[in-house]
Amino acid sequence: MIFSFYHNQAQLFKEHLIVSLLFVFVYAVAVLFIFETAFAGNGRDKSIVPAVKGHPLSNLWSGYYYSKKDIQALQDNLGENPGLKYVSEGAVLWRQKPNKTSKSCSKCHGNSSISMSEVGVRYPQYYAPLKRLINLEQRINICRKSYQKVQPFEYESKELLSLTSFVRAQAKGRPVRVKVDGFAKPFYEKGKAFYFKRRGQLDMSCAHCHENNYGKQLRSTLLSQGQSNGFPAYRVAWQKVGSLHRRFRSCNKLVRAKTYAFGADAYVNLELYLNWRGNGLEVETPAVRD
Amino acid sequence: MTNLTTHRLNLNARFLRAWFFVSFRMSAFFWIISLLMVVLIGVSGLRAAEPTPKKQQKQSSKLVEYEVFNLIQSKSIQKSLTGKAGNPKRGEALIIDREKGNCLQCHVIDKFHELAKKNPDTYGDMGEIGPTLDGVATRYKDGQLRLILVNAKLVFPETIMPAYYRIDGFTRVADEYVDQPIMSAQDIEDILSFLKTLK
Ligand code: HEC
Ligand code: HEC
Ligand code: HEC
Repeated sequence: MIFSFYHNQAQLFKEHLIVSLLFVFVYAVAVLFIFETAFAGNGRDKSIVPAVKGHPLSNLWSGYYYSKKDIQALQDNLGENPGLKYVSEGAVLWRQKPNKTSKSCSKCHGNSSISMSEVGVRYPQYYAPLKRLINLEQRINICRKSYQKVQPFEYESKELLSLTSFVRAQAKGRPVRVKVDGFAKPFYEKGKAFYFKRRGQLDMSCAHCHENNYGKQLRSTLLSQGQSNGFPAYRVAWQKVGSLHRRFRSCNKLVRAKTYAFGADAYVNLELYLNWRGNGLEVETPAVRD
Repeated sequence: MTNLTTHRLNLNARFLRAWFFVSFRMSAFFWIISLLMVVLIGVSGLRAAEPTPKKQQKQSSKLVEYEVFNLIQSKSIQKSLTGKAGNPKRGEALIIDREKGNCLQCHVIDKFHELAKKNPDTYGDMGEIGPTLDGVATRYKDGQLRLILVNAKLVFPETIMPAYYRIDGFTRVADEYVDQPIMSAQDIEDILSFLKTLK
């Protein structure tokens, strides 16, 4: 008999109690672990995301991660983030009628936190009426021209930067998710070719710095993966908010290459490819960078 | 052991015994689960700790460098570009100069660490993209070093290192740099004469 070693009920009860307590303890530990991992998962740096299969990078790291502590603090502090000025100016423009006869953005689009919640994660996007890829800036200008019947904003103007920051900030915290199949495919391919093309007198491609050498010191700068999830972003070196295309121009100049114009097709294609490389990273607009 | 106690077990005891069995099994189950979780957490902890940016290495392995070395042995520029010996002092300045060689953007030279303590603007901020330049003079012959400076891509085809004495084969060079090498022939020879001191 298996239980023959129990002399009496009392002993059985005692043993049972011990094992039960053990069981309760282990159960408690297990539950604690579950909570802890869940908590650690949330608390861990949200700017790191494992990449999907077939991605050139194994993990995606937001530029936030490579910034100095004081720059990170500036981004996180809602009172001090200088990019938020642009967002609030964008909010004003969103509600404002550009002139007596035309409608405001909010008149047509309603509550921005609902209507624009997904826009920031999926642009650039194929735009059928024009049969081309457009980014957020261009989308906003299309509304200005065709729906508000006023002059489009100039690229990199304070107004366009503000509205773009405002619209993209509605998607803050959501993972970037651009589509690169279907109509977008050829544009994606062009952007990819751009990314890997050596250019300039220094003859480097984006990949030389941001794919092969991220995490390493390039003289005084720590190289990041060159992700786009924080744009439009406030750059200390610019002392203002700038578009992603401005950053492209800076990086082109770094290798002594001819730049393209703001909003050039080549840059919009590159923007799509770059956003795809960051698919999964949270939108940080307005980010703060050195 | 005897069967002495068996007959004294009443229903309640049976129930307790059954429950003991179940809970023992359960606890074993939970032991396994918690062990698994310990392993999982260990792994996730490691993963969180591991990819710090400094450790993100994706550079070519030894194998590539080995191949490359064989290649170099047959490739070199034997003759001085200027026909004269270079000036190592000037070469050192060019290596630091951010507009000219800017070699420190990617390379470390060990003795500069010491000098940087007094003069951080000149000697500080050395990059870590390329290998250290200490000992290049023992690793390469003069002609090989000259070729690496003139066009490193002939030695390391995929390299990030610019070709310092070349004007063609580029894409979209900014207007102010068109048809100019990054450095002059004299600059190359001066840098070379400095590299030769790095034994
Ligand atoms: C010579 C090296 C170099 C090359 C080549 C280069 N970049 Fe950069 N890039 C930098 C540096 C330095 C920074 C600023 C620090 C950082 O974030 O890495 C930067 C920053 C960026 C950023 C901003 C990242 C952030 O989180 O704020 C983006 C986007 C970017 N680069 C894209 C590109 C693209 C696209 C190309 C190719 C056209 C390119 N870079 C080529 C050096 C380079
Ligand atoms: C008269 C109405 C109207 C006004 C005013 C207007 N829009 Fe639009 N907007 C539309 C319509 C309709 C669409 C979608 C149809 C299309 O694709 O053309 C759209 C699309 C958009 C999109 C893309 C949404 C998506 O899901 O892809 C953005 C972003 C946008 N508008 C921003 C703005 C901003 C910013 C303003 C103010 C400067 C503005 N719009 C003013 C009517 C308007
Ligand atoms: C943009 C980064 C960069 C710059 C700037 C640069 N190098 Fe390099 N260099 C490299 C890399 C990376 C390698 C390793 C070769 C490879 O790509 O596999 C290298 C290799 C070398 C080697 C061969 C070293 C060895 O041990 O095999 C020498 C010598 C060298 N560089 C000298 C220089 C000099 C001198 C300058 C300045 C005139 C310079 N480099 C500028 C990146 C750079």
